[in-house]
Amino acid sequence: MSRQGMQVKALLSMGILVGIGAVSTLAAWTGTATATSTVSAATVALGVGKTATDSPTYTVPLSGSAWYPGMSQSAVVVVKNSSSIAVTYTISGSTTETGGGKLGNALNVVVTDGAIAGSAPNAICEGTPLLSKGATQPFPTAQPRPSLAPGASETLCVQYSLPTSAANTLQGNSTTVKLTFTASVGS
Amino acid sequence: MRNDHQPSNPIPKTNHWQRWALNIGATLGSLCLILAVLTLVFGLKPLVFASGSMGPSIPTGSLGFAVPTPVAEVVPGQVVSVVNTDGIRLTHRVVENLPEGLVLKGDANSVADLQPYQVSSADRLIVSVPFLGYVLTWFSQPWAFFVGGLLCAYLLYLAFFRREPRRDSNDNSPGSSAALHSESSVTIGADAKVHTTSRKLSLLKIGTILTALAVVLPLAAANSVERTLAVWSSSSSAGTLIQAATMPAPTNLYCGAGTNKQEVIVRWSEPKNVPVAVEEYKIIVTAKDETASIKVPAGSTSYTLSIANDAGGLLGTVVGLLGGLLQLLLGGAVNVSFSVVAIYPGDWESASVSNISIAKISKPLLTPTQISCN
Repeated sequence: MSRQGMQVKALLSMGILVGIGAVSTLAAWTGTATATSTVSAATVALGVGKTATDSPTYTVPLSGSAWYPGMSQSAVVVVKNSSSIAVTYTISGSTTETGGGKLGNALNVVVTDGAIAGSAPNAICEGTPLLSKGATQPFPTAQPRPSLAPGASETLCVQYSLPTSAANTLQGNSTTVKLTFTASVGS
Repeated sequence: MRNDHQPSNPIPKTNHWQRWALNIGATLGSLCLILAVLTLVFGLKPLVFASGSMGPSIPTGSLGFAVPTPVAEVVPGQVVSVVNTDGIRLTHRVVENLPEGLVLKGDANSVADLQPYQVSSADRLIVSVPFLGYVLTWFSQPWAFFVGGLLCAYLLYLAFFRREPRRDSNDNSPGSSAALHSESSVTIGADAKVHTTSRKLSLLKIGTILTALAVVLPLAAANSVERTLAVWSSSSSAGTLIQAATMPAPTNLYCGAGTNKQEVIVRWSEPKNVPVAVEEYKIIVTAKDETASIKVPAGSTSYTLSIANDAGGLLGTVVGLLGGLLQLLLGGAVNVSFSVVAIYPGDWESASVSNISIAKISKPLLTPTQISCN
């Protein structure tokens, strides 16, 4: 190897410093590497039910299949963090109309952090509204909730009501109202 | 840099390990420099995946390279890296490119990310290599700086400053040592001259190295491998089927004789299995092609149809509309249609119970006009 060749190689090897400089910004990550590796190994899951459960789906038991204008029913929904790590989650909602109906569109749906007051057909949810869908309005964008520790749960109250302004043509229509709780980790 | 023909700068003897170190250092260094230049020129971004929601195609610890792409050119199916409003970089697959932003979803996630990302430019992932991100992260620790610096310093020393082999106690090759001895004996007389020349040379070497450092250090500062998250998400749902009632109609419509032949009484039964109490009933009476309707309170279950001159009521209205009884009966007897609808809260109406010929208005010979049940 010539002296000149050696010198070129030695100078080129200084590129390693560039590389190390470039990856040094990852050092911040190394600091949280424990948490990060936990995240990558963890499964993120929320359970939902009448009480704290690991089940990913829950059918809210509302009494009666005969809704009429002015009816209001409420149910308790408990969201549990079934993950091995703390997660934040969001609440979003959707309605799926059966056939060509518009019943879902006509419903009011409110999710609060309070308790049920009264009983069907006049059961309402007390507390602060967290997600609220007005009649003839779509559900708003997903609403964030604070972090849930592993195994912790949050009790929500969901109020469904059909306003007296609901159209006569909605008779016999049916709709599925779905509340979706999405946990994300890593952001 | 001097060439090897300079007597003061002879070919240094290097052993196997030193040559390896130089070659590896040069290779790695060149690679880093090439990437650094690509980054500067084309905006190529190295990304380390810190979480695994893009698995299994891009597992945690992958190293990826992304190039900036205008959002208009992003199409579904591409993997793009964006910086969200919290300043966190995340990399997911494009589901939709909407006016309100990019809808992204991790391959391993069951749901798309909650909000579209409103960005003007995204970094499109062009290639990813599993595991390499872990290696890079490993090198981000402080000792790597130290070792890397030490290696460079050693290689620079080896290439620039190491004295001639005769003074190099590290040279343990006996054959070459002897050969160099004879060469050095020639130059030994010019030792003082060599000394000043080598001082100048040293300055030149230091200048070269400083120049290289001046190139390398800003490059090191300008480049950074970024960490990207492929965010895990999971969702659960609480659903319920809501079905609106079909409001039950009154039943058992029937016609009964009134107190005289000028009237009949139509009765009905209240609807059964009501979800909520009836508020009122709507009655519709039709004769020929004229119709009149009226609402009666919930408690009522009958209505009297009368053709008496002063009776008024629905039938009277209809008859009036038709121009009076005589006019009505020009074509003979006329059937009367009767419907009842139950009205519930919110003005929801039941279906009607009806009979299109519940009663008949007729004018038998020698008797007054009468109404009778059919």
